[in-house]
Amino acid sequence: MIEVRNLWFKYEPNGEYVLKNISFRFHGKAILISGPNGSGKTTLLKIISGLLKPTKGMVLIEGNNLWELKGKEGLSFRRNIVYVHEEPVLFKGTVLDNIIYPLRIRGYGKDEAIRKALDTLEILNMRNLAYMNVKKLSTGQMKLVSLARAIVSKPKYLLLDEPLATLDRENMKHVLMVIKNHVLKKSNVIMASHRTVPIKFFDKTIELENGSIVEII
Amino acid sequence: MKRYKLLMLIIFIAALIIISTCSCPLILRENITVLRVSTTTSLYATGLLDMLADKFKEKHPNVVIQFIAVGSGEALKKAAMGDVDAVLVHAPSLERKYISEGTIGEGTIFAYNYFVIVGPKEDPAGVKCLSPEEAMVKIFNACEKGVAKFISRGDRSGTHVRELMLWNMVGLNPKGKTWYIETGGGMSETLMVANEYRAYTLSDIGTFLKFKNKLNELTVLVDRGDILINIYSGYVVLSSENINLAKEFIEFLVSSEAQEAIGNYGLEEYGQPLFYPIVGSSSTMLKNMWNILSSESS
Amino acid sequence: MEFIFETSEIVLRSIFVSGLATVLASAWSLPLAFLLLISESKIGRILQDIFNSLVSIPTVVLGLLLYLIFSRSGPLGVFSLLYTPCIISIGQAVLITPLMISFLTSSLGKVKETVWETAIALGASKFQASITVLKEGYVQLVRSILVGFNRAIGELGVALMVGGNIRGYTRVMTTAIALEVSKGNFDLAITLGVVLLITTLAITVIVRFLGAR
Repeated sequence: MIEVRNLWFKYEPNGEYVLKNISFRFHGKAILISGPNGSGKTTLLKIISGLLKPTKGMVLIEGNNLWELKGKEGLSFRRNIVYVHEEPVLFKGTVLDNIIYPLRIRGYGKDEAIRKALDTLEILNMRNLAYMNVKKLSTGQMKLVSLARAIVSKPKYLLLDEPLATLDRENMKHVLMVIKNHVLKKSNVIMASHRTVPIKFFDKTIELENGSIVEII
Repeated sequence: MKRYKLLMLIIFIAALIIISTCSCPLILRENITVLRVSTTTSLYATGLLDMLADKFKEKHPNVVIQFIAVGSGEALKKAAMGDVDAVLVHAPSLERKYISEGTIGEGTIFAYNYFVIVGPKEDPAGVKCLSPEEAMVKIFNACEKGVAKFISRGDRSGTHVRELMLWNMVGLNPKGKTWYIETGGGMSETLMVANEYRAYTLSDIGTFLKFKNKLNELTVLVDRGDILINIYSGYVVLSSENINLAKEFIEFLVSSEAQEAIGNYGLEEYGQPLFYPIVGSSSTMLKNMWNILSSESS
Repeated sequence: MEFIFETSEIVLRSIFVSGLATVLASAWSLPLAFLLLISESKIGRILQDIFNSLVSIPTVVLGLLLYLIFSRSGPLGVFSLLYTPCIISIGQAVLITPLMISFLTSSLGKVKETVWETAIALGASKFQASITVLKEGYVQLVRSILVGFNRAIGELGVALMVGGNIRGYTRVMTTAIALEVSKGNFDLAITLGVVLLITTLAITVIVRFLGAR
């Protein structure tokens, strides 16, 4: 359950507000944040995932305010929420090195991490890329790898920022399939997209324009 | 944040260990005593001091002499700061100041030579073989007329101090004149500049001899005159922990063995000695000269 | 023959002294630069500006300051560190610290922007994210250490003022060159200068070679 209460956000202390009085509640499995470029989708996602701190207002995830939890408790709670950037940043090394990363930092042993990583690659039909150096990947492949990296740890909340941008039709369908059949089984998904996505996919759609909510479906 | 602090602590401790292990002074090794002697670059550069130190070491194998070569002013200042045990310099007026302040004891003269006035071979000021005082006046006039220039070291070194004294003695002040060029540098650099400009300058004989083949435009014009005498004295630093050893070293410098070595130094290479020993010369004459030089203000 | 022996001794001493200086400076510059990178506070930014301007401190000025501090009549004179190779290392370490921090913050800064946020977004703790940034910015790290080393081995003011250029003990390449210049042995000085440059070039090449896995 995610609750956003009277959220205001600006990047610079004497700048303009990028998000204005956002409030909504979400109990379901998948929520879509739509809106044109610059409407504040990325900012909203980053705040929900705890990367940015609200200027005013608060975000409660299962009743917890991320910014009030400290130490070990805070860290383990934050690990339930994974955010995927629009333009993926992959670490140096092979595809596999990247995918085992979230597992290794959570304390998994190397063998187990590799096993789980390979399983995830299997689901995404990318098993053959496992040992390829990331420098050799196409942008589309990089996006898929960053997605795989995010879901491997099966986080409770998965925040995807424009996951379908730059993907061709086939890959887009593939990704949506994976989300529907595998991801949604274990995680709740919040997706930001300015492209049209089959809406019946999502329990709720929030449309942003210029930092404010214009419609909730 | 906790793990950061731990890491920083470990690194800090490691750094501390590294510093402390390498900071064991020589003294801890066996029973070696280190004698630190500050001196001037021109004196050190002749190589005389290393030669004398090696001879001293033959008699005192557990003593290491470290020479720190800087300008005269700095050498004496280091004595005042307590960082050296002995000083070897040749700037009587500065020496007197530090004697009166109690930094150093009475001086022991151990060698002397002469400053020389060098200048362009054509000698536009016409000073060849004149007395130093007359030469300085003629050089001043020639420079004012625009036919010559004068290069000064401008660095409070022994040579510079003497040059200023010469101007003072003939009542002339070149400071600020366009033909008076202050290099602020060492003797060799100053000679190079003089060579470049075909100008006059005051030099110690040692550096000039060493450098002669690079100085095609210059020649020695005036090398006689009491006022050009360059007296090298050794002093014990009164606050030194090794004061007895320092005294021994200074006394060694006037021993017959050292004096003979001093008199022969450079003979082979340059055909004339770089230094004159004091044994055999009139030590009263030298002492008088020292007194005169040290009370001349510059 | 004796010349070659003495020169080699001076070269080795230079490498050791400046190498130690670089190790020391890295030990405190790396964590400090990192903390500056991840802190968002105003103090962090002011400190960065201070370090950036300290990069251009004249070596003679720093040498003089250190001399006054470690002189027997100075506050830390009791350690008798003056005129030892050790104090040169310390002095050079202080000298190159602003340079290394400045270099690190600017070069790692770019790495940090992207890598840090990605790591945190995937669930890394601040410590884990830092390690990841260091791994990703390994090349920049090595480069900044090299920059520090080259600056240390090529400086004159500190080595001269606190080292004293003592033959067989604290004479390093730069002070040896200065001495030869003052003696008028320009040819020798230039030769030594070339030796110094070749040494730094060789070390740079070796480090890069080792780093390229």
